[in-house]
Amino acid sequence: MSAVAAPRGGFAALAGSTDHKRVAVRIAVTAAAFFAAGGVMALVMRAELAEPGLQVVSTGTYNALFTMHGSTMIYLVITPFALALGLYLVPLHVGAGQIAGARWVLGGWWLYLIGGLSMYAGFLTRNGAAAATWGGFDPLSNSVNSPGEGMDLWILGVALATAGELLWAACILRTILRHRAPGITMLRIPVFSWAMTVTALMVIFAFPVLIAAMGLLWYERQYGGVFDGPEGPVAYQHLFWFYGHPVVYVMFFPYVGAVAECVATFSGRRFFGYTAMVASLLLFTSLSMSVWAHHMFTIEGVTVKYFSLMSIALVVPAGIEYFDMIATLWGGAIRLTTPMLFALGFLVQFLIGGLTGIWVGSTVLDYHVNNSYFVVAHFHYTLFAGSFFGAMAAIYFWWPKVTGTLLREGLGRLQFALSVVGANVTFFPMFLLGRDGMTRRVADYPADAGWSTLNALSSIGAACIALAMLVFAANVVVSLRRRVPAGDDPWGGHTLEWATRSPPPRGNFADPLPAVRSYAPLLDRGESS
Amino acid sequence: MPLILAADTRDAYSDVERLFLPLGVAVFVVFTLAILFAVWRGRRRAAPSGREKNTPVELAYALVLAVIAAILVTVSFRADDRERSAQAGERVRIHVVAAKWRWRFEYPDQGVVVQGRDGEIPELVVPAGTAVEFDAESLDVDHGFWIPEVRFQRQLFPDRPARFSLTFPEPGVLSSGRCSFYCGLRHQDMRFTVRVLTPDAFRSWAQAAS
Repeated sequence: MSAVAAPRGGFAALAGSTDHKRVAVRIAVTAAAFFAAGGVMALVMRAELAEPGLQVVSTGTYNALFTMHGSTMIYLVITPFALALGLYLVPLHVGAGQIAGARWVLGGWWLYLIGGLSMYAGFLTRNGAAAATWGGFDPLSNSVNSPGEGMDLWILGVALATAGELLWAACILRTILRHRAPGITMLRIPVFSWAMTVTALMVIFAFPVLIAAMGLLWYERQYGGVFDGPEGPVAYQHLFWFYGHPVVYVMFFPYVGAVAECVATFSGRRFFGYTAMVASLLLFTSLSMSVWAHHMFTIEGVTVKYFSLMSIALVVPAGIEYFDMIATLWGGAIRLTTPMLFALGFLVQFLIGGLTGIWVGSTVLDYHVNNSYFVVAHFHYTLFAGSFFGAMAAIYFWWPKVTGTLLREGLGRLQFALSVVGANVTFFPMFLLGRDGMTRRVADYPADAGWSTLNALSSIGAACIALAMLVFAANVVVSLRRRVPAGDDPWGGHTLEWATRSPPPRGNFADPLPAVRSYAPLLDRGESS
Repeated sequence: MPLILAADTRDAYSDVERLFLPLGVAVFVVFTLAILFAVWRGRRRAAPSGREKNTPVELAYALVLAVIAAILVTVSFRADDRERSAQAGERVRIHVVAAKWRWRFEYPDQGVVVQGRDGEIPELVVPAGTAVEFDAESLDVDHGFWIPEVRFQRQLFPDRPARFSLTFPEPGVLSSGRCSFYCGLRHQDMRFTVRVLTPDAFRSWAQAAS
């Protein structure tokens, strides 16, 4: 990819390839690097919390660590990786040779990279990196309470990364709406691509609000006068959570889609209840824009009953999605490959995150556990025990397509076992700690509070997760060094990406596309022959 | 209907938890067993089922979900109403002031001020069985007023008082109240204890302290 060897010289070649697959891989690799950084910060925090007292870091460092851990995982890892899956797969799923707006997609990677580096550059400044939480809540984040360039670099970084993600979502949506091959109607795109459709809709409606809020926060820090008055801080929270809740589903649906593809493929049958699934995704998306202030139940003057009603109503679409997943398994001829194991792990563990989500959707229960470790446990069950497992299912499932080689199954199963143990040992104790009164975002807790054992347990779990990550890294290295060719379709896939080479050529399809008569076109082919 | 003397937030919380916890555990167990059973049976199956959908069952199931959601919402709303219900009888007013990184509790009717200082944890003293009306605000950034034992917290802002009332049924010392909204460098040090006295003991305490 050097400028000399590239067909076009100069700046365009330096910027990188505009092929959607190569940009998507670039985003995934960048996200993996940020994931490693965010993971190391989590380990330092768990080391600090393993016993009462301050042993490892100062309070100020701890505050920067949890702020940067959350910011990294949400703005720089789970969201971009979810969208990278869509950038890679959606053109293949709809039979397109390239993504719409390929240069915008590449430009988005640069925005994302520079944004991430900007956030991290805060560590090099005099006052250190931002330490005002991943939400950057005013007035804590204003120039009086958070002086220094670290906070400004964080604001810039969040805005840039979010702008990049917005570009990707727009390109994904346009590809789905306007670049489908003849015969591929909207009700013949795979479940994953429907999940990407609704994800892109949420990004397009919610993310601009965050960019605007970051602009306002920057202005507030420079000149003031934005979040003045008694309602200013509340207004900031409204703006932030208007983004901050939909992004939760942006970090969820692409992985649900990936898990649905794994479940259908390794059950050897079409995904059950496709239309109901699509309807539930749309219902979920619609509700996602009406639940943001359930993060603000403990603020007086918020219309809590409306947001509580909308949040608990999510039981309906979420329940339908689980029904369809289980019904697909129910009649399946099941193969327990590594991607399938991670998909099943996602289904079971996300259930804990989802059910406790209903819990905090009740105002009275939330008045107690809001901003406690209960909430930390809840969203790590959705984001780690859920989305991360979905991401691993996706990685093991599509790795052969992207690289043309297989990952090792034995190491995959070992990684899965360690991840399950690690996730539950780390995050389950946090439910009990939070319910018992431990607040989040603390570097220390009283020795006489009775929380030492559960915290130590949680820290041991974190070490187990770290071990699982090392096993994955080993798997990647081993599998890339000593390649086992995957062939075009190692799993018996249902969707169009499995009908082309591994990796797919530039332009995606060298041969004519098979006829598409349903959302599982390769199964149609088998049935008609 | 008996007149509710004061909102008992612990009871309201327990009423909701009593429904949500077993229901959540039951759903988790049923779904997990269904997944495990389907996988166990599916591994022995040679040919998968060809069925693609079952619309009547899915519609009926969606209806059941909607009914469950409606029940959860109703139970939760009623508990919320109880926490906000009108109160009669004697009451004690406390003005809570939060500032980086300490608490101040002012008793305007008793002329008492409890000021937290660096290195010591202040004590919020309240009478048992009496409605305590709080009027709480911050002087700088957002703070959170949380007393885990009574299952209640509120976010506090500058110039935007939060008003709520709590009751503390039995005398005793509640291990701690704390700031629940992250407020910067020494957020974790912003704690207070709660001492619940009998109404008589509270009156003597107030006289001695004023």
